[in-house]
Amino acid sequence: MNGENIKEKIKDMIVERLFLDAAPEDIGDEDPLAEKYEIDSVRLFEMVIGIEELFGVIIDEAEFDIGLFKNVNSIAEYVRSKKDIA
Amino acid sequence: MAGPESVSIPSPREPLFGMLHPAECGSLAVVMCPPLAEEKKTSYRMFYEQAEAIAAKGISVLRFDYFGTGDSPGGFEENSLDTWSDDIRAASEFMLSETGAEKLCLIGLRLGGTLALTCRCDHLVLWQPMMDVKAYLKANAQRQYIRHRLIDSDSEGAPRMEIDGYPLSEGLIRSMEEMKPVIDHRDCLLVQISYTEKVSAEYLPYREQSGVEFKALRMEPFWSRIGRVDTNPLINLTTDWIRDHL
Repeated sequence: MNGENIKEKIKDMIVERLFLDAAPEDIGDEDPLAEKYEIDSVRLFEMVIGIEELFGVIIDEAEFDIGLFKNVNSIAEYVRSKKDIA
Repeated sequence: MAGPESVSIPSPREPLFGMLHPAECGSLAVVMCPPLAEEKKTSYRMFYEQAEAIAAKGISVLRFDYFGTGDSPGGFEENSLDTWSDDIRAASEFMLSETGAEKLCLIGLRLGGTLALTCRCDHLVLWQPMMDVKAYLKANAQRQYIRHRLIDSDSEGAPRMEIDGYPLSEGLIRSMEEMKPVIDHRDCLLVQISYTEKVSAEYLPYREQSGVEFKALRMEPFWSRIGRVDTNPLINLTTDWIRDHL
């Protein structure tokens, strides 16, 4: 799993889980997710669960930060750090 | 078809508030078992629309509020799993008596479905019930934490013993954790409502169970959405299933 592949998977997950009326490729790596897709606590929770299930990681409370979900790049960076992927 | 009318449902504590959607047919009656807290509020309109759709087929439907919720008297913290189940039984008895129906169908959403499993009925419709209550509590705690962090980014110790601001006693949490829901009803429609039609691990054991008809709908979880969700696929599925069981 490389970096680009991670981003694609994240975009697919976001569109699917949040029932977005958009294609995964329409989401830019730096797009501000909260503003663009109206991410409230319910949707944020969906994304947390989606990332945990998709990549087999646990986002524990100590490291939970809203900033992780700023955009696709920040999520991908977090996943890479957890999975130790270059 | 007459419109819904408010009713007072006798129960062991104080009378519960209900809305009866009357219909002509007397052979089957339906009681809808709501979830709790925000999930109840968010699904309120959908419950009305489902009740109207079933009543239009000639089957009377009752919506009601548990003790300490909605328009029913009492305090939320006075409840337990047993009292909530007792409320469903009280609503069921009222409905059979009021309509003269011979058979009863329960429809339950989320915890309402899990609670309905503890009650007797002829037909049972479960909408995304919690079959793994411990996992639900864990997820709820995680969701509460996120919610509090969004509200107050400096929040370190967000309260956990609550569902959307409604307090849960330690005893209630313990009894929920110990819950081992099983489907032993002989005629049950189990509906998974999710972003995917792939069967979740939670419902996998029931997919092939005798007496259980499993359906997976790719639909937004309307009980947790602020905006309007098209719930017609679920309403139509449920109405048709119940009509076929008249």
